[in-house]
Order: sequence, then C-alpha cells, then structure tokens
Amino acid sequence: MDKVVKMSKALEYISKGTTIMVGGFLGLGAPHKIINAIIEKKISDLHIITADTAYSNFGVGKLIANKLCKNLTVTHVGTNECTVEQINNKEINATFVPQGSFVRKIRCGGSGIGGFLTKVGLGTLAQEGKTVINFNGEDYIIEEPLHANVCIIGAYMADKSGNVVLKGTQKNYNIAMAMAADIVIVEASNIVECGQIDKECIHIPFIFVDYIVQGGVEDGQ
Amino acid sequence: MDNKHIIAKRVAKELKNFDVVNLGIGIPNIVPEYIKDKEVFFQGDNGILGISELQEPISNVYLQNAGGQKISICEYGCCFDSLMAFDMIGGGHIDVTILGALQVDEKGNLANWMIPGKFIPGMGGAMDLVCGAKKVIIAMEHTSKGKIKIVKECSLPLTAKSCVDLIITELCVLKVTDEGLLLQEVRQGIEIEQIINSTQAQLIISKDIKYF
Repeated sequence: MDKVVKMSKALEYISKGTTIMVGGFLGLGAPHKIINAIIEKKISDLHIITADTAYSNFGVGKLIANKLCKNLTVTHVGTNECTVEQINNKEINATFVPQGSFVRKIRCGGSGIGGFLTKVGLGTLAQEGKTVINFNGEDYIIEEPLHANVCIIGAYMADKSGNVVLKGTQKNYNIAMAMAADIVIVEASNIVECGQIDKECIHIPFIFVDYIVQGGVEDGQ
Repeated sequence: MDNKHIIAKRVAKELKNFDVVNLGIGIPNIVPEYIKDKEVFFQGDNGILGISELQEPISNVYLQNAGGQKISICEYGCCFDSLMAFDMIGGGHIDVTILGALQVDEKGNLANWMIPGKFIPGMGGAMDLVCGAKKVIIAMEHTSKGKIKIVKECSLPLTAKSCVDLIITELCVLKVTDEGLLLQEVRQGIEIEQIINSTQAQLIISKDIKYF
C-alpha cells in the first residue's frame, strides 16, 4: 500500500468552490506546501473550514490574502488583517462558531453522529439560525455536523499506508478533520515505510487517509 | 509598575496550588510572572497542559500556546488534540479561566468577542471557556481610553450570559453577586469616589473593604 503522490495528483481533488477543511492552529499543523500549490493554481471560491485564519503570510491565512476564499467557517480571525478586511467588505461570507463546538461538529461529521446539545453560545449571536430545545429541564443549542469534500492537514510523520504521527501541539484539529471529509490529503514532513512507526504511537489510523504528499519541516512564524 | 502588571499581580493571588488554569491573551498572559510560590497547571485550548516559562520562549517548532507563541513545557506536561482540550473545558475540569473584556455588566454578562461593523476577531475558545470553567475572572483595565467598560447592561454582542465571577482592574476587585457588583477590594491610594465615577454599573460597597 503506497498512498504517496505528487502534489499535482493531490490537487486534482480541489477545484473552484470545493469545501475544504484545513488543519492547524495559528499555522502549526497546517499543510503549508499544499496551501502554496492551491495559491499557484489560483483555485478560488473555496469554502474553507478552519479554526483560525492564522496570519496573512503564514498558514491557511495565505489563501485568504490571495482572495481564494468565498465562504469561511471559523472561530477566530483576529490574527489576520486580510480576513477582517474581507469580512467587513463582504468579500467573504463568514460563519463564526465557538471553538469547542467547532471541533465537536467536525467529530459528528466524521463519526456518524447527527449533532449534539450544548449550552455554549446560548443567548448570543452564535445561537442565531440554530434550534434551541429544552431537554431534561435545561435549554440547549442543537449543533449540527460539519463535513467537507476535502481535508488537508500537516503532519510530522506518515508511513506509506497513511498512519500518521502528530507532534506537540500539531494535533489540534487534524485528527477530527481527517475523519470528516470525502478525500483526506496529509502533508507529512517525514514519510517512512510501513512498520517503522510504533503501533501505539499512531494518532490517525491509515484508513482515514487517501493521499500523502511530501512536506517540509514545519516552520514557525 | 504599570496597570497591566498591577492587575496581573492581583489576579495571581486568586490562584491556588494545583489549580488548572486557562489564560486569555493580553493581561492574563502576564499572570504567571506572579505565581512563583505556587504550582499551577496552565492549559492551552490548542491542546497542551503544563505550559511553562511563558516569558522565555524556546525554539521548539512543535510547541505553541493558544496565542501562537512558541513555548516550553513542564516535565509533567502533555499534548493532546482539540477535542480533548475542549472536553477538559466543557466538562468542568478547568478550575479558573482568566480573560479580558470589552464590557462586563451588573449581572455578570460578558462581551469580549466583537464590535459590530468595526472589530470582529471572533470568539475563539472564549464562549466555551466561560461556560465550562469553574471560575471566570475578568482581568482588564477599568476603562478603555476613558470609555466605561463596567456597565449596567452590555450593549455589545455577548460572549455568554451571567458567566463572570470576579472582575479585577487596576482600581479594584468586584465580585458578581445575585444582588449586583460588590466592591470588596480597593487598590491602596485609590478613592472609592474615583471607582464609582469610572463605573456605570451600580456598586454595592462592602462593609469590610480590603486593600491591595
């Protein structure tokens, strides 16, 4: 089993208007090379699902700076002035979700759960457009699953079958996201033969991964 | 000592040995400088427990706090994914969360994530933190460029209703009670008049005022 492909093959799955989950927290755990390749190919009108839009010159934020995002499902954009500007100019249609609900919505999307009940966001704008129910005497918002056409994440290491190891705080959204998209592409800094990773150290089992591309070393801001 | 450090130093007194604490950005991030005598476990909602030496970043490219700063980690520290991080938060496993605010009101309502049409950073983990943590402390300057922040009723979009326990500013410590905001502590040299004048919310003055 060898899921390692050239970047051009991975990009076949991303086209104008694709709903795409992008892993990473302020750029750590983001697939930097795939992001650069999307920018080179000028694939636009993307619906990007990502926790934060990092920085205008780093991580998923570069897709925003290059005006390739039309719809955005996100929790925080305060570190990227391009996102703030494009939301204010109505170039981006943004939906803000509380961060814990964001990751749980993705878990639902990847694990066959139809939604969940939470008190987070009650009585705030985060409640708008959502159903509120009274259950066992308490009010809750019903949060629905999030799913994407494609998921792209960065990783410290992958074996050729797609078993993935994430280092430090690189795990963030990447495990949940890898379960919640039709096609999952992992950009790994290190690609090794099957059997070279300790079985108990694998964070994403291989069945969730469709393609692997060679990444660089995760570089900080 | 500037206002930010005065606030951080007073906030630090609220933390107990072995508390699990989540810090927001800004003033809350200075608090660790003032807790050298206690062991407190700092959690980051990006998936880390045991953040150490916040002021002395080292170059581990795989370790960040929730503000995106490079950090180091304690011997007992551990990393996990965001589901675990928010299950810790939502499940009541965080003892204290310390955040900034745009507005807080008499009922302990909090607004700290957007100013419509002007400033839309997003809520990030704030809504989860103030709903899930056992204790919510707001650490902020009493006013912002002369503008009043402690109000009768928040006019900005809320982060959560009735979630705040304690407000700590460079002037005083206010406790949110069912009856309203209780002025329980005043900074040395500050007149109560001055606090009342820079606060829109009605204050209940404690009969046993303490000083810091």
